[in-house]
This record gives sequence, structure tokens and C-alpha cells, in this order.
Amino acid sequence: MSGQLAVRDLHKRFGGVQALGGVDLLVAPGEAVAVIGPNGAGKSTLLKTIAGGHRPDRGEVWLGPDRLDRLPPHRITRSGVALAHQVPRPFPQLTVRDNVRVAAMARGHGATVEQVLTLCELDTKADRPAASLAVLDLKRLEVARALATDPTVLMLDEVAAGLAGRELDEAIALIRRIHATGRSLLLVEHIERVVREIVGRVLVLDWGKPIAEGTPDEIARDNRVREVYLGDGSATTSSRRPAPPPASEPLLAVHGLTAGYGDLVALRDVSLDVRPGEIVAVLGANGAGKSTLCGSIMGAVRVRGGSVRVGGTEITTAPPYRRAGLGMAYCPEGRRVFAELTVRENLQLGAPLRLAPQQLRERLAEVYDIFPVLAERGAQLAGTLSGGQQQMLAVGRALMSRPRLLICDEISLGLAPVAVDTLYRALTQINDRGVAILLVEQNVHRCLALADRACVLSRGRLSYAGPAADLLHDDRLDEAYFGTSDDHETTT
Amino acid sequence: MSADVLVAGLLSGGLYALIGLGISLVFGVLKVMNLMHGELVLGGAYLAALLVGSAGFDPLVALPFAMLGVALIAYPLQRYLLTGLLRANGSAPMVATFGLSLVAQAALQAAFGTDPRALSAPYAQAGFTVLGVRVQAVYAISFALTVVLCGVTHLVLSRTRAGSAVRAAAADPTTASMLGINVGRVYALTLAGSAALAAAAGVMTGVAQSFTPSAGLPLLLTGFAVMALAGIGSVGGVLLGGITLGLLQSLSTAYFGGGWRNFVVYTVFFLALSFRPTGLFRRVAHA
Repeated sequence: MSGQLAVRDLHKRFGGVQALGGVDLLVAPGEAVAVIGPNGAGKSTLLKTIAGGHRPDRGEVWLGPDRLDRLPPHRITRSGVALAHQVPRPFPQLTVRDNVRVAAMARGHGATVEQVLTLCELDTKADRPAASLAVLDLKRLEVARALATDPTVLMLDEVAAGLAGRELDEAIALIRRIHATGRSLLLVEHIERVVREIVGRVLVLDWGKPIAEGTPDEIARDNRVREVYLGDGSATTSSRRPAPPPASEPLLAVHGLTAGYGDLVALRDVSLDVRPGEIVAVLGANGAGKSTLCGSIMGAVRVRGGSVRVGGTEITTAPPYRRAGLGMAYCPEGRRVFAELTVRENLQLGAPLRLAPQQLRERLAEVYDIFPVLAERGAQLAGTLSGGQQQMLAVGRALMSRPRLLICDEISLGLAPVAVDTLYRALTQINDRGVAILLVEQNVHRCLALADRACVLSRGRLSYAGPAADLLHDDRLDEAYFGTSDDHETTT
Repeated sequence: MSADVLVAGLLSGGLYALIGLGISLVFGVLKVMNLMHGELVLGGAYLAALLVGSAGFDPLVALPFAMLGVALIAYPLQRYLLTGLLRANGSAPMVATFGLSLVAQAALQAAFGTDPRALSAPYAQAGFTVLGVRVQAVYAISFALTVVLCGVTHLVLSRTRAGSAVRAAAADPTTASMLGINVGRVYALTLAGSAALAAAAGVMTGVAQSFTPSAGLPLLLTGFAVMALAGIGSVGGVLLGGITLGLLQSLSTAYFGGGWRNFVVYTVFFLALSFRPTGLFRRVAHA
């Protein structure tokens, strides 16, 4: 087992998005390297491109003397590169052992199945069907399947995502045991503790380009990296109008909300209120549960416990299309405009279908007033707009229902600073008209500068709730955001 | 041959396009292969047969009633059965439509017997000659009807707000529902619309040819072939796909004899699926 993994000048473009824009990376035999970066930085694309799931537009991937980037995925696996995916997808009806055996067969001379099962602490569960496993064991199985191909380089895509407490300890222990067998590791990871305890070197990606490389400590001190994660602090000084009177009845009341997918609990016991006219920020790292919160409020994710009330109406189990009529509008993460419809058609869909043409025109005019560029592009297909314009369209589409509460999920994600400025100015304008805003964001500083109150989610739990300004000038931001202090308590 | 063959192929292609339009609409919006489409076509023919037989309607007068009747049967099937299956499991609705096609076949047999029927109309066997080309009246009428219905479908989908709601639900049902669009109802209306188109095709097929309760499968295959040629999401493409199929049939009959007709048609169907899986006319017109 030897051979250095060398990635040279790797480029990959998806449509208009440069997912990888010249990544260089060396992983020496036996070394462990982590790739970090905000959402959309190109981390998963990098791993998938190395594993042959995507074909690079330019650049080379070498493992020792073998060039991999022209090979089909199964040949890359046989050459000694394996990828454990973020979301485990075992064959659910097969037993754990058979799942691993299938992977071992993929490479002619795989490692012995029993060794892998023991290493991954699945030996006692080997005869159970994969569908019966809980989250941690599913993750173990995903790793075991990758390991069964006897890889020289094992790539792990956010294996620890969604784990907490003891489960997280066990996941880290597993990765360490694997590293001790002499394999090289390449990790994509958001949980700082995993990075800190396992790897010696970190590569930071943003917009598909490496922006920093160094030891975990060096990276933690790097100002550029902090900026990438927390957003720039340029807008921090603006002070806003006084907060609205707190006495009024909340527009949105979330109480004790628990939600998740399958076995994974993404949100535990979260409560928050939004009152008329106020702006509430919801912050948190990737995988903290922010999108699950939005999904639960809008009815796209099934709620397991707790309640959601809008304007006093209980809507916890109402179908999504009923919620839209209650004065609440959603601007989803990733924009999700209808690419094959025109800009005007997209906007019209935001308004109730039975709205009279005259009123429809008035609402269109209101949106065009906030986003003049949409008026110019009215007849154009939404898919031909730039990312920033699509985001404006998504906000405008939400406004067409004349909401009293606008929920924005990651509206600055993947946008150039200029476009973010425009959007935030528009949000101020929208709020000035009396619309309350629930702002879910990764861009911390900009978001806090606008918000009255803030909540921070950390691995599905509320770790801070209070005035936005306090969070801005407080060490609690780091603590709540990265959740480092509570992790150290559990280990030491 | 030549001109006669080409015109006959062109006109019979209209009927194929009408059958394919319904299948293509459902597949484009619901992403489900509706295996009972042939029975929806037959449903239109048998409903019209009732009206022609009992009330003495002309088939063309019976046509709107047949369209409405079959649509009313299809709507609750989608609303209260198939959409639930669609949300539970990806392949269940297709299997369910196959089951429903068997049920419909059995019901038609029980109600109408297995003897072939035809809808009698003065224009059923009539023909006329234009510029020396022989034209069968019923195919000319069905071609015109197809053009009209394709045009209406295209305009509804592309020019109305309900149409853009259908296209939005097709592209991203989750986002559409969060905008307040009742996707369950959109799906049901889509199947009902598709059923009405199928029924219209059924009435015209019933005038042009005879039909039996078990005639659904060849009708379904015809619709598939049109969709394979046309691609998804393009009403104009469906029309061209139907015409292509009609021309292929009449040309292969003229050149190789009737026995080779299906061989040629299915070979082209297979080649189209293999080499142009998105359809020959994918970008001709956009719905």
C-alpha cells in the first residue's frame, strides 16, 4: 500500500458554475488531509471527480505511477481509491456482511470481509439487513464498503455529519483505526473536532479554488478562512431603525420542534418566534439543521414533535400548499426558480391562482419596483438569468403572495458580494414595508447587521437566542457557531 | 402510389399524434408511464357508442360528451389513488395503471361483449379527391381535430397561469407546493386532460376502424412510439411524431406490403429510443 495521490490543476464546470477552478493537492502515503470550505465550495465535487464520478474538464489525478482521471469509476476503485459518500446508500435488503462482500468483489483481491467488519465494529451485526441499522452503524457500513475495496486512499465525505456526543466519538475512533492501518485519508468535514483530531493538514476551498492550506491550528487562525465562513464584516456598522414593539402576537411561533429524515434527527426541541415587522436571523454551520427548520415550517419535512403556528393557526401537519395562503412566503435554498418558465411566469406563480388580473399587475409592479432588473427580463427564461438575478427572482416570487412573513433560506449562498449587497438592500426595503423576515444564513456578519434578534443552531439544537447585536460583539458567536467548547467537555 | 400514400400517412398520423399527446402530457408532468392510456382511448369509443346507439347522436356530437365522461372517470383515480402511490413509491403508480388497464378491459368486456364495434357515421367510408389525390373524409376530420386539440393544449400550457402551474409542478413539485400550488390537484387535472384527449382519439378511431375491449394494447404502443419519436414536453413535437409514424406505416405498407408494417414501425421505434432517447423533435416547439 503506497503511492502518493496527486491532484494537479483540476477543473470542473457544471453549466455556468465553476465547481472546481484549478485545485492542486498532494496526499503522501499514509497522510490524512481534510478539505473544508463553505457550502458550494466544491468539496464534494473534488472527491467525486477524483473517484471518477465526474470527469474533469482539465487537470490530472495520479495515484503513484497510475494516471486516474481518464479511467472509468470501477477502474479507479481497482487502482486503489475509494469514496464513502455523505449519505449512505447500502443495499437495504442485503445483510451487512453481504453489503461489504459486494464491495469486496468490486476489486478482484479485496481485503477479507471479516477483517473489515471487525475493524468497523459491525461484526456483531453482520447478519442483520442493512435497512435495520441506526445512523451510526449506517455510516460505519458506508465506510466498511469503501474499505472492502482495499483502497490506498480512502476518501470520506462528511462521514461525521449528523452525529453528536458519543456517536461522534465512535466515528472519530473508527477513522483513527483506519488511518492506523497505513492508508491515506482525504476527508471532507464540517465538524471542526473531527478535523482537529485526525488530520495533519487542511486545504480550504472557496468558489472551487484553494484559498489556504496548513495545519488545523494555522487554518483556525487564518483571517481569510474566518471571513469565508462567517462572511465579511463590511456591513457590521449599520444601525437600523428601532425594533418593533415586542408586545404584539407572534406571526410565527415554533415550539419544541423535532424533525428529521429516516433515523437521522436533524432538529431537536427548537423553539422560536417571529413577531410582525421584525427580522430574525437563524445562523449555524452546514448541517446544523437550518434548512430542516425551514422545511418543517413550510411543510416539506415531516415534523416528529412540537408545533408550528402561523398567525395563531396551528399548521404542524397542514400540507405545504395550504400554508402559502397564511401570509407566509418561502424563498428556498438554491433559489429553485423554474428554469424553463419565463421570469414573469415565475413571478405569477407566487401569487394565488385566482387573483384578478388587475391585482396581479399591481403586485408585479411592486416587485419590479424593488427589483427593476426583473422587469427588463420579464419575457426571458428564468434559467438564462445570472445567479444573483435568479435569487432576486426567487425573493420576488415569494413577495407576490403579499406575505407578512418572508422566510429566506441562504439567499447569499454562492453569490458575488455585489449581488449580496443588492439583495440585502432589497431586504431592508421589504422590511420597511412592514414584512417580517426570517433570515437563514451562513453569512453571519451581514445577516446580524440587519437582524433584530438571532438564533444559532448547532447540530440540531438551539445554542443561542437573543438580540442580534449581542452576538456580534461576543465570543459566544464562535462558541455557538462552531460548538467547540461543548465537544471538548465530552472528550476530556 | 406516392401522393396518395403520403397523404394517407400524413392524415392517419394525426390520430396517432392525438393518442401520443395524452401519454406524453402525463409522462411529462407526473413522470409516470400511464399503461391504461389505451383503455382511456377505448373508453371514449365505447361512451360514444352508447350515445350514438341510444340517443342517435352523430359521433362528432358525442365526442365532447365522451371526452368529459372519460375525464370525470380519470380525475378521481389520480386524485385519490395514483398520487398517493406516486408519493409512496416511484414505480407503484405505473404498476397500478397496468392493473387498472386490466380492470377496465374486463369491465368493457362485461358491459359490451367482445364483438367488434364501430361508430357509424356518413363520413366513415366517404372520400373525396383533391388535386387528384384521394382523401378519406374521416382521416381528414381527425387530422383537423388533432391540430385543433394540439393547439389548444399548447396554448393552455404556454399562455395561461394554470398552464404555468402545471409546468411548475412538473419541474419541481416541492417548490410549487410551497408557492401554494395544490400539486395533487394539478396531477389529477393533468390525467383528466390526458384522458379527454384519449377519448377524442377513441371516438375518431371508432369511426375509422372497428374496436374491441382488448384493443387497448396496440393503441398504447402506438402512443409510446409517438412519444419516443417526439420526446417529452413538446406539443409540436408530438404532432410531428404522429405524422412521422403515419408516414412510416403507409410507406412501409406500400413498399414492403402490409405484413411488414409493424416490423418497420417498431424497428424505427427501437432505433429512436436507442439513439435519440430524448426524441427526434425535442426542440422543435416548446410547451
